[in-house]
Amino acid sequence: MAKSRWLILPGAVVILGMLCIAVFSLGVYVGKHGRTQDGLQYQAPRTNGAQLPGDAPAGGLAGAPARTPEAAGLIRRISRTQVDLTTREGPRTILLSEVVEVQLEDGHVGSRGDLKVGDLIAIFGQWTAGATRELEAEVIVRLPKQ
Amino acid sequence: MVPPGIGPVASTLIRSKLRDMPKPTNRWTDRWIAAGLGFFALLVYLRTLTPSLSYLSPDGSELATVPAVLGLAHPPGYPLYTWLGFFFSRLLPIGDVAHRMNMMSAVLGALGVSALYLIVVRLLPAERVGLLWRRCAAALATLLFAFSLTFWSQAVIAEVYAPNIGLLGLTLLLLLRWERTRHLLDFSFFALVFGLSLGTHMSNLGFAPAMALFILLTMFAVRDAPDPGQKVPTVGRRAWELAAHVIIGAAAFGLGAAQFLWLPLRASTINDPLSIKIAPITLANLYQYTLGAFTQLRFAFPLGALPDRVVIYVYFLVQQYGLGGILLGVVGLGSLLVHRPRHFYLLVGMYLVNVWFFTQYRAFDLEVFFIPAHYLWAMLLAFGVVEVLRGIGWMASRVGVCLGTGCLSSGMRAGLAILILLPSLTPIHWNWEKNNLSDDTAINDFYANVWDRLPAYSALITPRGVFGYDAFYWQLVYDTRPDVLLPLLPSPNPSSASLADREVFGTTRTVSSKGGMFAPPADLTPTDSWSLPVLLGQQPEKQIGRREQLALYRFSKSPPPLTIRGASPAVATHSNFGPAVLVGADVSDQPIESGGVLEVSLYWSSRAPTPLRVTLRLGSQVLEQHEVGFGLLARYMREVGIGPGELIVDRCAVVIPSTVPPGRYTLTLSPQAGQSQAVLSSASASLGVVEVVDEMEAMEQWLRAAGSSSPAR
Repeated sequence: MAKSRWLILPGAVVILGMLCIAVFSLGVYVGKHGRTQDGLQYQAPRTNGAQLPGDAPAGGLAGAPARTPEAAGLIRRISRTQVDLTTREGPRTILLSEVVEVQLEDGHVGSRGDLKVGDLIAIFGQWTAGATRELEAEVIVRLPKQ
Repeated sequence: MVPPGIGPVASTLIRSKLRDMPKPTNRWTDRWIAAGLGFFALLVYLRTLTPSLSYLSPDGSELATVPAVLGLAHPPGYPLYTWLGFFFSRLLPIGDVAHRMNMMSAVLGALGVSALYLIVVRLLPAERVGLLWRRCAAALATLLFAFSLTFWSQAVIAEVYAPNIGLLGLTLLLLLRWERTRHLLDFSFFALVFGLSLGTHMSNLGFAPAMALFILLTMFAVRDAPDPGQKVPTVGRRAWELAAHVIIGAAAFGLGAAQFLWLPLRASTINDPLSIKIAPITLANLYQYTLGAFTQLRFAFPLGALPDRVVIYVYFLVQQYGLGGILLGVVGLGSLLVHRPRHFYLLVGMYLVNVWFFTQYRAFDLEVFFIPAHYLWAMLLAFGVVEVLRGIGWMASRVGVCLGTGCLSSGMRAGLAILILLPSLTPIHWNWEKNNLSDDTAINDFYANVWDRLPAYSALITPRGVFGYDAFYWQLVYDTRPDVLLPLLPSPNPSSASLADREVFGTTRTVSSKGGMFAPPADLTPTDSWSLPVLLGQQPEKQIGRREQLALYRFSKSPPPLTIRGASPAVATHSNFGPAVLVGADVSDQPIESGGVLEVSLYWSSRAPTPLRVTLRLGSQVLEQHEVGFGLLARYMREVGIGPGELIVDRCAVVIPSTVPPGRYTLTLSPQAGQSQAVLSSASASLGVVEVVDEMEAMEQWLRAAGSSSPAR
């Protein structure tokens, strides 16, 4: 034991750190979600456009693609080329293509002018190529105010 | 046993080392036990193995196909997986190629299970409990891992995670072997296999710092000679030794990692819309395809989200080992640190890297990325079990009961050993139903009938990239129906001109502007095409993500015949379903081979344009669910109209799963759950009795549908 003490002490700190992180995380989780499994919904299913064969070709929100959006959140700032969102995972910047479609909550086609700071939106788009991959919006759906 | 001429200190060290070293007979016994555990795991995996293609992994169909044709999988390419898969697909004379790839996961997963036992039994401290109890602890931890929820699920499908555990176990075994022998040759074997393991999962690279630390600690912190009889090396000699290890290790690792040179050679085979943008034909793209792949998924969460992510990981750990397993692992952490401090830094270092990296990884199939961490936790768990056994022995001695060597009869020892191993049966019982995919035949049943029904020289539109491989598999591996064009197979962006003069069918009618980059291009078919399902498959019971139901659509420019005048159905029902009345049905009255199709026509009289969804059942088994008019009714009424006296007709073929045993079954139609109470409380209709026969094995049917003379058969 004596000859290994200099190995054991840092290891003990590591174990203590692991336990502290686990306990702290559990505490934060219970504070946020209570003793429920609400915070364990980690799956945002990747999809090939899931749709039942008997359904009309467009499902879900009126005008929205039949899949999970790549991002959703409140508009913090919007310009001609990008929109800054506040999402559950933190702030995100989404690129706006020239041909981005805007769908309003009632299913009607809108325009970029319909998007205002504070609106809740869902983004459907594609990731750009290259090292700094960014999400480029193809369809933006304005969601009903909560 | 101690060589003459050695000083008293060195002599003591060597004696203590000799005591710790496993005797050759013990080593062979442990190898046999490891082989037995691996074989047992393999038997269970084979019993629950997916027969062929599966949707349990998003990339499963691609990973079942690419090795057989020596193609290139999605980033980071998985060269070693591809090569191993090629040999399995060629050498195993069992089932179809997808089945053989599933078997590869089972075999290499079982190899990882055997390796786990050998690693653990070698590391458990001899001074704590006797050999039998160490073996029990090691076997218990090994079996708990082998039948843990997530690892087992990956050992029965074509995926990289179970083979990766095989490679990871082998890497650790070789590292521990080098630790024992300190031979440069053993070190080079370790480095080579470590380099090769990147070809089953690139994240293994993250284990390098912990391994390097362990190697340094072993070379510099261990004062005694590696083998009895060798001189204790001087500092200068250790430095030379280190230099030799660095050079040889780097060369061997480089040789293993050189497998990625395979990527540029096969870059022309990529057909995935994501991967094709970074086809590894330049050095920059090679980096993007391998180390630079999926950067948008890494460290994807802000600091505030990390507690939730840590809890998600803990939740996964509870799923594998239960709360008891977590507590034993925590005890094991302390035991490992005290008794094997260098190994603590190796194993816990590897574990922390895996957990740290993947808790911040944005993936929808997140649980599989933690399998290496679960593997390492099983080792900690074994240490915990040893400490508990030690504690029990101590408490027994306090009350005057001796449990030590020589105190118990061999029968009692065997009984106690069985008692210790009993908990390992729990996960087999609990996870069997979840991981038994042996009846997952839906995809093959569906496609066997698709190939049978597609007209000559037609075209079949599929999703792009990895989502299209459930169809690509057949043509790539078996050259099935070469007259049928799969436009998304050679390229993710085919021209609509390639479909000219062909009847067009599809397994999807969702286009890219609605279904993301994996859906076919929006302009491949005219936007005003009609798409009518002509073949409906059973939805696979177990799948990950949301996939379209298995259906074959026929695309046409003119409206399909959705209505009929003067129908006289063979089965008259006049059942009121609320928004529509089922007037009757025509059902084929010939016996049907399981795995074949049932032709059904349903005749509806609709009172209102309210959508109605119905479920068709064979006995108690759901065959398919659809909306009356197949979702085309509103457009049909708008553009064509329904005349007085005309009935709506839902006409299509429904796949009878090959898992349906022979017998006579009642065919019923009922409203689908999830609709209004008024609809749900309406009638169910009996459409007659269907006789199912079973004259041909499912695999035989699939291979006949594949209909190829390919060498892969």
